[in-house]
Amino acid sequence: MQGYAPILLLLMIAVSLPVLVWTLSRLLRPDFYSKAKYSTYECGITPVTEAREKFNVRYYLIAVMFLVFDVESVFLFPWALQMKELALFGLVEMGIFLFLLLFGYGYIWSKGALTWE
Amino acid sequence: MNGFAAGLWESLVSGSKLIWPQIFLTFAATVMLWPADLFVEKARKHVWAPITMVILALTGALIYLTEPGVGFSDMYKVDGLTKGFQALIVLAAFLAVMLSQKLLDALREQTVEYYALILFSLVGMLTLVGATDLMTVYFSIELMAICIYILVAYLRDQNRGVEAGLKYFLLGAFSSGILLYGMSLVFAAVGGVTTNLAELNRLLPVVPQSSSLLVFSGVLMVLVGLCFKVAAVPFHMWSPDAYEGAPTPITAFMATAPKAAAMGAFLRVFGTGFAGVSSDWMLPLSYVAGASMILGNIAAVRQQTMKRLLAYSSIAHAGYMLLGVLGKGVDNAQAVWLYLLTYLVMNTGAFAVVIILQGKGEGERIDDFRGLAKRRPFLAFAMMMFLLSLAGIPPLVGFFGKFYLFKLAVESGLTTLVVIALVTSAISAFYYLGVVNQMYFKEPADLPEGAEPEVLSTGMTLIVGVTCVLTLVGTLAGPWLVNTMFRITWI
Repeated sequence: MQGYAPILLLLMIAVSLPVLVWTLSRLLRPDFYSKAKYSTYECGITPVTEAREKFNVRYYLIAVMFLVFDVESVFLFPWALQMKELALFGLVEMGIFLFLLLFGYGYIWSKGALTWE
Repeated sequence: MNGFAAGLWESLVSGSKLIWPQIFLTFAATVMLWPADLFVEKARKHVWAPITMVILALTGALIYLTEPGVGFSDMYKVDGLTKGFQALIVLAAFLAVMLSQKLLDALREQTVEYYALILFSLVGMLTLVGATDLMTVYFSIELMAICIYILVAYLRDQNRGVEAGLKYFLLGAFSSGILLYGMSLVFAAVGGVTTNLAELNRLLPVVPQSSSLLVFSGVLMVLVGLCFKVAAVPFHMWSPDAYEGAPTPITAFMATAPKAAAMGAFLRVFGTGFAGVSSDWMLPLSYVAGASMILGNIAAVRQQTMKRLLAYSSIAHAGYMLLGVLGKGVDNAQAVWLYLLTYLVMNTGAFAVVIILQGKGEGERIDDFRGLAKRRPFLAFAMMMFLLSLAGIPPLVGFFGKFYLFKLAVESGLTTLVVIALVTSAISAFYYLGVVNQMYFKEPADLPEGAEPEVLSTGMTLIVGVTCVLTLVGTLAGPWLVNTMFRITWI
């Protein structure tokens, strides 16, 4: 258990810091309450409705597609760094990977998932 | 090329010889989705069914031609067990596609995705039965399951289908988590050096006393995860709902192919990987097997719809098959394979009859079978044969498979469980015969004019006919089957 002492210390600091800052600001700030103060954001645009609302399923589609291509680039970076070492093997593996993604891209395109309205 | 990359390249080239069926399937399904589907008009999507059947036939040939061997750093192995179960799975998929075509036409739900998803799930299943590493097991289970979640919710305009899909997905994701956690505990218990099954078998029995609890909990969690996939009690709660909500051909598919794949994984993981620590899992697994037989058969008695009845009966059959896992030997694995083969034949037949009667997705209540013998004598006779065979009445094939499995289980010393299996088989005969009673001794319900089902085609008749004949005379092929069965081995 000895190696965990720094983590415990970190945890204590992490907990005590917000408590400290919060208490300090509570002690130092002036207290003026008004109706505007109780609204969700006291500055900026006035909220129109609640945040919990149904929204268009397309956003999910975009999110999923973003995830796929994001992961693609996550895999491309280490390959680019190790390209010389991995040589032909890396090229072929990456080729298979990109090939499948390319077909996936063609598929979603042909399904009209990329057209908005 | 330096040594490291050259080694990887070598392993990729030599390993790819083992997975030609999977490579072919992936390629075919990908091209089917895009761009090939662009050239098929909306009204002609049904052409994908015969194309899929051709692809499946070619996959079967590739499986037959694959030479046994080990590849990908011992993560995947082709041996008798792999090839035998792969053949079962491809056959199940072939029959499911054959069953699908007409029903999807009637529902106007023909899409290329349906067939492509079946093929993608097949890639997972084919890899699963050859997996000799916990990592391969996990990733192929996921590949198989994700495709099937979507297929269950395929009729997305029906609330029942969506509910079934969501339920199956949530529970399935949860069980995958348990499975993965169990694997990581096993991995930690052996010192974090390997997930290879052969290595684990060597290392697990000699872990220090302090880690034995880790091994126990890890092995149990893997057990839970796999029990979920074969729908064994008490991890069966998803299956009646998923079976009922899915399109009926997919129900037939789910009852056979993923079950065969999960059984193959069960046999390999527990037969070769965890065999050394069998004292840890023998008792829990025998409770699971016993509970599946008892609960599956008793719950089926009260069911009102045919699909739920067959779902509970498949839970009970999973319980019987777990006897083969408990027996631990290669001969028990062979008996499980034989059982799965006979189960595939009679189960597909029974579902084919349900699809024919179901028409456009309404009548699947057991009451709908009333007086079937008067209306359609051939269908009623075939259904009777399938049900009697599922109950295990000699001389039908169901008895043949059951006899072999139970005989080996007795020889492995599982007498109590075999007694339970026999008693619950007798109970199962009660509800199977209840349906036969409806068909033969009840007056037909008054059908409104023109309500006769229309999902009848040459293909459907062919399936019912062939499976009925196989159910009747399959036992005559016994010697040949047993000979084939003896080739199911792990080296």
